[in-house]
This record gives sequence, structure tokens and C-alpha cells, in this order.
Amino acid sequence: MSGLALRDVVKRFGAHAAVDGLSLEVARGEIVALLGPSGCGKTTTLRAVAGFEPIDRGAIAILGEDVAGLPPYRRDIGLVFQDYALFPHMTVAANIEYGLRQRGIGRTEREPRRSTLLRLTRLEGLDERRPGQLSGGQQQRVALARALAITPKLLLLDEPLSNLDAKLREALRVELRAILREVGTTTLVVTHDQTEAMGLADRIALMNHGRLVQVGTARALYEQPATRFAADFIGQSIWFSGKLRRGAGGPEFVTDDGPVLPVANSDVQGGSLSIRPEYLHLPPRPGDTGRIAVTVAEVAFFGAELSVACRLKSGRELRIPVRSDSGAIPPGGTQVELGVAAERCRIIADD
Amino acid sequence: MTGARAALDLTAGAIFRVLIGAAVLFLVIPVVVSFFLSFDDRSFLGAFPPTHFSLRWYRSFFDNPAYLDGLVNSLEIAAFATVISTVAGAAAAYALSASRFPGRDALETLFLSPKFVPTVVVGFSMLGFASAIGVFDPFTRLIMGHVIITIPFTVRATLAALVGIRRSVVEAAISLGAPPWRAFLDVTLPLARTGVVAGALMAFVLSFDEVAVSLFLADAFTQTLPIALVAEMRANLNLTVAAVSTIFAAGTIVVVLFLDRAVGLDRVVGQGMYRG
Repeated sequence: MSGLALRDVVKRFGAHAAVDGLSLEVARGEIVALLGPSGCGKTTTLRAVAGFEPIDRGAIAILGEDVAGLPPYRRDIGLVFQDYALFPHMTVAANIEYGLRQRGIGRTEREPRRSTLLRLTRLEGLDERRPGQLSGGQQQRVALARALAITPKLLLLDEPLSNLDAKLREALRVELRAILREVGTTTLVVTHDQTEAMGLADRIALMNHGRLVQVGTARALYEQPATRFAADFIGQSIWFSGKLRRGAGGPEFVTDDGPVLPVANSDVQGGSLSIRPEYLHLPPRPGDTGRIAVTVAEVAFFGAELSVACRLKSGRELRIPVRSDSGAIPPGGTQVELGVAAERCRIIADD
Repeated sequence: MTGARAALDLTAGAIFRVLIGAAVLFLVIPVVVSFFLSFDDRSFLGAFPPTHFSLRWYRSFFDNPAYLDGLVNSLEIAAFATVISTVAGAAAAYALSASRFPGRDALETLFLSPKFVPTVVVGFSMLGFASAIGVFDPFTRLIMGHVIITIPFTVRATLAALVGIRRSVVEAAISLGAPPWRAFLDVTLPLARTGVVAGALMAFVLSFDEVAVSLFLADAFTQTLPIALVAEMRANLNLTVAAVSTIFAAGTIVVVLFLDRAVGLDRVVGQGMYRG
């Protein structure tokens, strides 16, 4: 029995299908991120699961139970809104206990539950504060504590860290992950931020135009993107157009820019070659069977990393990252070779 | 270039301050004048400032049954009109803010329209309407008229407060297990409270102050305080009016101070607490 199962869910707004036949399973206790650009239907999906958007087709089941007939207040879902949506006229304590009160749970049970949650979210001593007196990070944690207070069957997080500044986001992501691990609730996180998705989730479901593009671990999505959209949305790609041919040591890709590179997958016809920039090594490492002859154009220093601009014979420029402690970089104008391993060169079908 | 702009800014700032000062003086001076005149001992409208002071006009106010009856009527009518107008206005505002339906904007304009119709017209129409439906009791008629002229203010004030309430806050309550009616009582209503209170306050003051509509709807035996004052001024002009003005001003200041203590004045006239 899965924690959350979506089967062929369709949600239309007029003629536009915001969610267009989405099927997704989240195992019990698993954290899955619904990742995609704005307008891809991920928020609509979350609202459909919560019960705020009636769906036009398909089925949604939570812990094996179809929730079609249940209004949002009967679904036992913990929902953390993007803007936190704390009750500004209630104290932190009243916010956290609100769901318990709705369930008719008495004070003697509410109070220990509240202190457990305040400890879990490191908000001890803030019981009597109002949301307006808290920092953004604290408000976010109150929203989480309030959603967890009802011991939900499912936790939904809508862009949980997007309202925080960059430094805080990093710290809270780690903390949020630890809290989610500890409570073990099945969780669906909706986000447009790949770092957030990678840092929080066990698996990522990548969405575009109301459909699932690819589902898998962060590493699987990064190393084996299924489509051009996936390769571009998660991380960066250097693309080569060209033709696949059978070479002496296996399949090869003849790029329009000149270099001929070995490829890991030859089952895709009519695609382009994608290489993650950091897989291009300067100088080549052992095992790098692919070689690209370039001229060093410019080196820029960014602390931990250098960005080396290399020019191909075709005139095209590639920017590759090099760790700044990896030895001397040849000066501009030097002719060098970049190395790449065959399994890092993937052919991906054009969208 | 920069110097010219700075000089311009400075001049504009100075003009702005003068205008504000003039507006404040314009509003305050008449009140101050009537405050001093109300203590004037002379039995005629003499030169300002008065030379001798007494409480005779206050005595005259409290000795005149027309004034006292008018005061009691005004308070009662304002209280009834305020309660009806606030409840109906808040309900209308909630319906307008919570749903989208064809004709919604037209309905909102309709609720606000008494503001733009001359009160004389409202008074005359209400008189005709009341007799058409068989209401001849002046007290009831006055309440009806006052509800009509105050409802735009209660609708508008509540609507402004409701618009500031984020949908997610209400949805949060629902997701935590509150049925929609419960979420309304626990979240929407408390957050809109300042708007409702502000609307009620405006309704009360407006009703208490109303002359034109009341002139049509009152009769010789049921008069409001403003009408009694107008009648008295016509019959024999004296400084009782100044005494009444001073009592009014003092009453308003007390209400404002109370309101500031109770909910915070900035919340009533300003953004409201729903901004969190």
C-alpha cells in the first residue's frame, strides 16, 4: 500500500489541461519532490491532493483510501503553504493546537503534543508569541509544526523554502530534511528549485506541461536525463548536434563541431549529445577515452572553482569548471585536449 | 541641474507642509471657536473672544426637553441603524468577496450607490416607499433611512478588510480539519473585525449626524437631535448650539481615545491587523 497514489489525474481550467494524465506513487514514509518550472501544474497537483481543486478525471488515494469523496477538512493532510498562512491573530501555541482543537482533543493531550513539536522544530519558549513577532525561518517552522500536529497521513509542502533568503534556506533545508526523516510522514514537496528538491527528497518527479517527464533519484535524473528538458532543467548541459555512427571501439558520435566522441547509449536515434560541463576534464584523466582539442581562451577565478573558456576549432566556446587546487592551468592561447569518459556522453532524443 | 531639482523638492515640501497646516487649522479653528463661545455669558452673539464666561448654554441644553428627547431618539436610532447596517453590510461584503458570479460588480456598485445619491433624494424616496409599504411610524422610518445611507460605509469597510485576508490562511484552517463555516468563525471574522468595527463606527457617527434624510422621515413628535437643533436655531438663535457642538466634540474624542486603547486606531483607519 503506497502512501500516496495518483492515477491518470487530469485537471482542466477551461480548455487548458493544467494536469494532464499524471500518475505517481509515493511509498509510505517516502519524500518525493514534484519539480518543474512555474506553470507546469505542480501546484495544481498539490491542491488537488489537498482537496482544494476537484479533479476532472483519475483517482487520488492516500494510504490506499480513495479520497475523491472527502472534502479537504476530512483528508488528514498536513499542508505547509508557501506563504506559511499562519493565523496572525493567534499565538504560536494556538496555531499549533488549532488542528487538535478541531478534532476535539482536550488540553491535557494538546499540551504535551505541542511541546514535543516545539522541541522538534526548535521553537521552545516561543509559545506565546504572535506570528508577526517571528522571523521568516521561525514562521516556516511554526507552519511545519502546525501541519505535523495533527499526525497527518500525508504532508504537503508548497515551495517550503522559497520565501527565505539564500543563507537561511541552506540551513533550513538541512533541518527540514532531518525533521521529515524523524517524523517519517509520507511527504510530497512541490518546488521549482532543483537544489531544494535534491536536498529534501528521496526521489524527484520532474514535471512539464502538466505531465511527468521523469521520476527517479536526484542522481539518476542528473546522470541519465530522459529528455532534453530534463537535461536542461536539472543541472547544465553542453550540447553537441551531429550523427551517430558505428566505430571501431563501439558507437561514436560525430559532432558538427568536429570532435568524434564515444557514447554510452546508442539506442536513441536522431538525438543530440549531452555532456555535463564538469565531466570535461582538463587535463584528461585515466579512462577518458573521448578527446576534444581546444584552445584555452580565458580563465576566470571563482574561489573554489575556476571557469575555463575553451575554443573549439569550429569557433564555438565551451566553459568548463576546474577545481582551483587541481594544478596550473595553461595560459590563454595554449592548445590543449579535454578528456571525457564514454559513459558521461549521452545521446538524448530531441524534444 | 541637481541644485535646481533640490530647490524644487524643497519648495514642494514647504508647500505641502503649508497645505497640511492650513487644512488642520481649517478643521480645528471652528471647533475651538465654538468651544469658547459655548461658555460665553452674553445672551447675544457678540464679538470673539467672549469677555465673561458661564455654563448657561449647557444648562439651557439640559433644561430643554426637545433637545433631550432628540438626543435619546438620535442615540436609539443610531444604535439600531448601526447594528442592522453592520450585520447586513458585513454579510453582503463577505458574499461579494467570497464568490464570483455574473453581476457581482453591479451588485457591489448597487450596495455603494446610496453614497452617491443626494441624501435629500434618499429621504424623499424613503418617505414614499415607507408609506407605500404601510410604515407610518417615524421611528421605524428613520431607522430604515439611516440603514440605507450607512450601508455603503459598512460594506466598503468590511470589504477592504476581507480583501486583505489571504486565501491561504482560510485554507490552512480547512486543511487542519475546520469545515468552511468553522474557518469563517475562527479566521475570517476575527481578521476582518477591525474593518467591521470601523464600518460600525462610521455608521453610528453618520446616523447620529444625519439631517437631510431625517428631515423627511421625522415628524413633529419624533425628532432627532440635529433636527431639534435646526428647528431651535430657526426659532431663536442662541449659543446652545455651541454647547451641543462642544459636547459632541468631547464625545468624539472620548470614542477615538477608547478605540485607540481597545483595538489601536492605526488598525481601524490604517492597514489593519490582518497583514500579520
